[in-house]
Amino acid sequence: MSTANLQAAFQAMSDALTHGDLDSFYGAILENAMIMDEDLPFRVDRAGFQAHIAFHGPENWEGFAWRPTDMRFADSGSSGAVTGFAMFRGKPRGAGFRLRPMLFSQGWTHTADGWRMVSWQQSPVIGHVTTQSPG
Amino acid sequence: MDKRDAIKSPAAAGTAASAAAESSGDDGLEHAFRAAFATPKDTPGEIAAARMAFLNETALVIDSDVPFPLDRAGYADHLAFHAPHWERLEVQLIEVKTAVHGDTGIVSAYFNQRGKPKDAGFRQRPGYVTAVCARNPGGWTAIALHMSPMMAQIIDASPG
Repeated sequence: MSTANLQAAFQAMSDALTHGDLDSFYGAILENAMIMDEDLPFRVDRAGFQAHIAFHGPENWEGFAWRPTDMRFADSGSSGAVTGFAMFRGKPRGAGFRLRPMLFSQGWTHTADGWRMVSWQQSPVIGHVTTQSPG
Repeated sequence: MDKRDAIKSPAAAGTAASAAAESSGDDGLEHAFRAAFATPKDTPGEIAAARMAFLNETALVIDSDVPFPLDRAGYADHLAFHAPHWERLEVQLIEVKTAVHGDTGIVSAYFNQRGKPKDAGFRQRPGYVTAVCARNPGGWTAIALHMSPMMAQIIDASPG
């Protein structure tokens, strides 16, 4: 296995989301993946994640995008991980734009069908310790 | 049982771990995860050793204390900074969940990191953690660890 393959799988997943190809996007995620979406204060699986994204669908947003950057990749045998930053940005209908900078991590496993995502955690940067410690 | 041994016991730490995890078919995944956090609360210096023992050499880490990703060496340096500044420090794990996909293991949990810095009052930080693990001949090690504060999550109602 190589991180090049993992990087390609990650890019394909990200591109599918960018282009609204939700079948390919969700197809990259295993059913029992553990997902902590920044929009929720509790863990969900793929179905829970899909329900949440569906709520956010076109009736509530004119458009939104997930822009990952500064990714780092690690693998060990058939296990892979990605960390990085991501900017969630978009425009709700009837309201101004929104921006949410985040840190994220993903777990991937290599199956007979290729790399599949098995975990995804996102945490807005604002929640991490971003100020000096008290004196 | 010695006090420290009792604290090391997942059950004594107020969690639902234990033998059940060992026999749940995860081949010790939950046990390895808990061992990375189950240090005696009055020996903060042991946290770094336990945590680093769990991390693969190429591990990537996102910690609640830092607003950018770290590699293993960076995380070790961060933990080493903390060690001498705490009287007590512990991570209480809640609702630990595991899944095994071939040689890949995922563990996630809610946590409460709590303790007392020297010369200051107590601190508590509730959060959520995910470990991405790989099965090795010697057991499970993490290739990614992500700990984030719950206050990072969206917990307010959407604006009107």
